[in-house]
Amino acid sequence: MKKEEAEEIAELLKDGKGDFTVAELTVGREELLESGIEEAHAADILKMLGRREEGGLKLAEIKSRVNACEQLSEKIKSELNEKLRAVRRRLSAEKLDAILRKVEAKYEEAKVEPREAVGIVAAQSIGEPGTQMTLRTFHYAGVGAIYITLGLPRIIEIVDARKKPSTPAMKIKLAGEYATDKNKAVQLAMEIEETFIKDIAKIEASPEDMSVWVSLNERELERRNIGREEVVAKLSGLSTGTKAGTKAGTKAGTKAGTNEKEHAVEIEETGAGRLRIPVQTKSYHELLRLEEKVSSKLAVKGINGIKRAIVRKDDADGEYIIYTEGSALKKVLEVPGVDFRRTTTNNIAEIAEVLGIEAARNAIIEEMMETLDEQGLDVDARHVTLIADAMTMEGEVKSIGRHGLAGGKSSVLSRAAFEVTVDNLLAAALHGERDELRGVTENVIVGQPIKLGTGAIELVARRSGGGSTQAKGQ
Amino acid sequence: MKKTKVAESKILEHALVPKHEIMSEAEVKELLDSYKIRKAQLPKIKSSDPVCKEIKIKIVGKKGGKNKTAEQTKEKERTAEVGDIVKITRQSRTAGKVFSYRLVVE
Repeated sequence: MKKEEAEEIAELLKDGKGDFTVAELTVGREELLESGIEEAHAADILKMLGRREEGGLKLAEIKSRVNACEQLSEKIKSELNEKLRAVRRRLSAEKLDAILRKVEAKYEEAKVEPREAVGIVAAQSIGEPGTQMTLRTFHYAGVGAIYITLGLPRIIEIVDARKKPSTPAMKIKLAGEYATDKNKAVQLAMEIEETFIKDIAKIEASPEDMSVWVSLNERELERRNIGREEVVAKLSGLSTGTKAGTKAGTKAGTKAGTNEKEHAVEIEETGAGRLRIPVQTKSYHELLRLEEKVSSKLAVKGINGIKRAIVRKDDADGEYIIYTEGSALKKVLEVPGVDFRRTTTNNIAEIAEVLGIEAARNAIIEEMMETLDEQGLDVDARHVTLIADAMTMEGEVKSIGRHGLAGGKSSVLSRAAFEVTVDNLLAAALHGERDELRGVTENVIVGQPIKLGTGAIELVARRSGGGSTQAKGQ
Repeated sequence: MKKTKVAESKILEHALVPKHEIMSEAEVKELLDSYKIRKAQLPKIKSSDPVCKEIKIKIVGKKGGKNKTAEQTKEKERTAEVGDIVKITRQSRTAGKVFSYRLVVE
């Protein structure tokens, strides 16, 4: 808040126009009288409240007691309330003034001097508490066995702007009745979780009759709400034969004709929920290949990338939330029942891609603050904000380091001083680079005053004869 | 699974996405003058940014004959183009509402 604004508000309140209220204001007899409440009434009010002495009463308390008092008529009650409002306002003007002055002082205190090296301060402010962080922590979110990288490895991951975090995870908030009904939430989690054939059936390759047997697990099928037909449909999409499989089919008849090895599978349903898939070409190699295909590649249901989905009840507001291992923001946001406004992932690159650079900036701040908080470290949000700002400056998420921000510096010496010194100097020599010596690092290296704080100021003298002479400040 | 096209059109409503607006030329001039900066000194946003593809600015139709109305209504809105400045209204952790600006680049 600016000083002018603070004064403006204070002025407004003095006139009694403002409607600002401060809950912990206290009143006594004097204040009651001052606001036009008759002496007898004021005494009554104080008596009613069981107070003999003046002051030390919370206004909100008086108000609630006045309203709760049965002896007073409605008319008097409303009149009193009106007057109490007046008391509140008048009080605010004085106390608020003091409060605002304190706020202003704090604000001035938090201000950064022009030309102060905020980046260094931010680096130190995160670096120091960073030494206290656990080096290798895996935290289990909630009771479920979904673990996510935390602590120092996580901070490094964020700052390095990895395309994919080591433990991608999503927090999917639900909309409408999905958030309140556990069964619905679980059902939705099953929809989202990627389910492979091997999760719902036992797969065996039998060399005796040269076929792969798929024994469906009825209970799993029911739990995941998958019909037999779906499985069969998926399986029939398979083809035995060489890799030419799908390609040949699309590339006209020329190849398909010559490629005899390719066949669509035939599925024989036998009793007891068993499916038999015979191999066309009677080769042992082909059989194993088919088994491999069935067990590893066939997703029957769910979103690609979501390895596990667990429903948890949020302690704070009692809504059900789906936590996932693996992340696929774009696809999850499209699922009906998902509250796309509040659903997030810890994969910042993905957020940048789906929601844009500003969202990525917010995600960086949120993720870093969360990680620091979780470790019990109190780092001012301003430092983290600065880092996020620097990382997203160019419209894409850049890492801090020689491939990102530090590597993008224009000064040769500065880059060489950071990492891979020889490579940088060699490349600079080959290209005939110039160093303008504008930054801090370069000037420290060559032994010049650095342009920071007072060093950044240049003097301009105005002569009486007109024109100005510029001199470098020392 | 039924799929509806939700994400495409509603990303602007996501909690992580602050308000983006394309600034008019007059606003841009005022901004650059007040900070005494050039456009290129601002942070950047890519024209391929998902938000850039969503936000629109209304263009005041050129004064023309009445027979051009159909064309005018067509041209009334456009998405962000390279060279535009996007005004972003952020919710800051320390300072309430904060305005930030990004230059749209390739």
